[in-house]
Amino acid sequence: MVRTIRATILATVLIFVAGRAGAQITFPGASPISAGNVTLVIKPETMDFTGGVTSTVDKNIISYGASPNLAFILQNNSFVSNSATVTEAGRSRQVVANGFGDTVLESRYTIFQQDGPGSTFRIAPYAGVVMPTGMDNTNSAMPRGGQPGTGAWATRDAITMSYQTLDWAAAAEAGYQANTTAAGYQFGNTVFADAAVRYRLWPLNLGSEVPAEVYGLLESNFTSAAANRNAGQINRNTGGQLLLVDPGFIYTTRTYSVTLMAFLPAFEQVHGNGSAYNYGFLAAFRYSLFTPHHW
Amino acid sequence: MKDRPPGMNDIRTDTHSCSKRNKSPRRWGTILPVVAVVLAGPVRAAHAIIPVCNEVQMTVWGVITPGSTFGLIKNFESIPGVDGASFDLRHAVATVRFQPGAIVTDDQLRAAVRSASYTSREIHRVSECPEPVARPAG
Repeated sequence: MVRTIRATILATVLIFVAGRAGAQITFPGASPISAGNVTLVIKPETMDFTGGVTSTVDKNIISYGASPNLAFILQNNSFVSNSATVTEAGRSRQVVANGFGDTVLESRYTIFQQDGPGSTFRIAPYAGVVMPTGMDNTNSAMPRGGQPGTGAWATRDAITMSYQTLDWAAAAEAGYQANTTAAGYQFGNTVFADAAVRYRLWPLNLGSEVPAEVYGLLESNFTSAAANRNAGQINRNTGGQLLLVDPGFIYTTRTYSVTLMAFLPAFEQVHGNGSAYNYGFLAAFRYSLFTPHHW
Repeated sequence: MKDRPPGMNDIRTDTHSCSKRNKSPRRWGTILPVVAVVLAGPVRAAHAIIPVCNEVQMTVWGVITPGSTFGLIKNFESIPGVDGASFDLRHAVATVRFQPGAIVTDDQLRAAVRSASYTSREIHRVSECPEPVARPAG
């Protein structure tokens, strides 16, 4: 049976570029998370690829400050909808796979902190695990790479740093994700590197009371993914390198924030006939809570 | 160290404390002293009239957005006896208000800042708490 899979790179992009949990917009940074602070983030994203491949993911992220230095971040993809063109025996048709996605649990520990009046510089490594809570066979016509869940465990390790002032901030991250094999299928391991800058647009001058702020955002996400393996055989239509540039805005108050952001590909090197990234959009809503239960 | 202007809120009539988690006691905490002074004034009985030590200003480093003030303020408000707190981003100064009669130490304030993952600096007591002085009746 000949099956040309347009969705082959889809899963890699979904999981490693747009699937990272954290307090930052597209990647976790080293921003302060107070002990007892609980933030809830709802983050729907939609992405469009060549060849009729689309993906929509609704992410729910809970961050919890367990101590002044230790934080836990739980991300669940509560709804994933992937659509791809599958060509079989010379005939093409659109296949859709909807369902529950995977869950990521990460821990972050701040190992360096230098605070100043209205500024902070922090370095924090992350360690996390991707749990295969998602549906990996919700539509048998959809290739494995396009299923809502991966079906496999993975580990994710990264180091992040952030420098923030009252006017602007910069953050960077570099990390690696190692995927295990499940049912004979293994997603390619991934190296990722991200950077972000933001600048305060409003208010122009800070008074003693600052109830809200608007920032302009510019982030970038680089991903280099190895090819997936199926029954030990390399799928040469998977993996590659992708650099996204993400402009956006964030409106933030003491208790909540709203973010809008676009994903634009700046560099792509897709293996074989894998689908290339066209564009994507993200909206995020964050709400802060507090619990006295912490270390 | 600057003094608060004299006013009704600067009159402490007893050393009661109330839970800051309950909004109602906070309101009564404002109303009761006023009622007490109004009722006690004509009688001119012996009672203590002293300025309250109900506010401190504390320099805190590392706070950079309105969102990052949330955890700091909540950690302050977790201290028993703290009535409320606010943060001046521009000057990196937190203002912490206490319930009447509450005793909150500098160590408690510094621990709250550390718990919020920030760095505490100077603490300024806006007004001191002298010992109560009894006025003669009549």
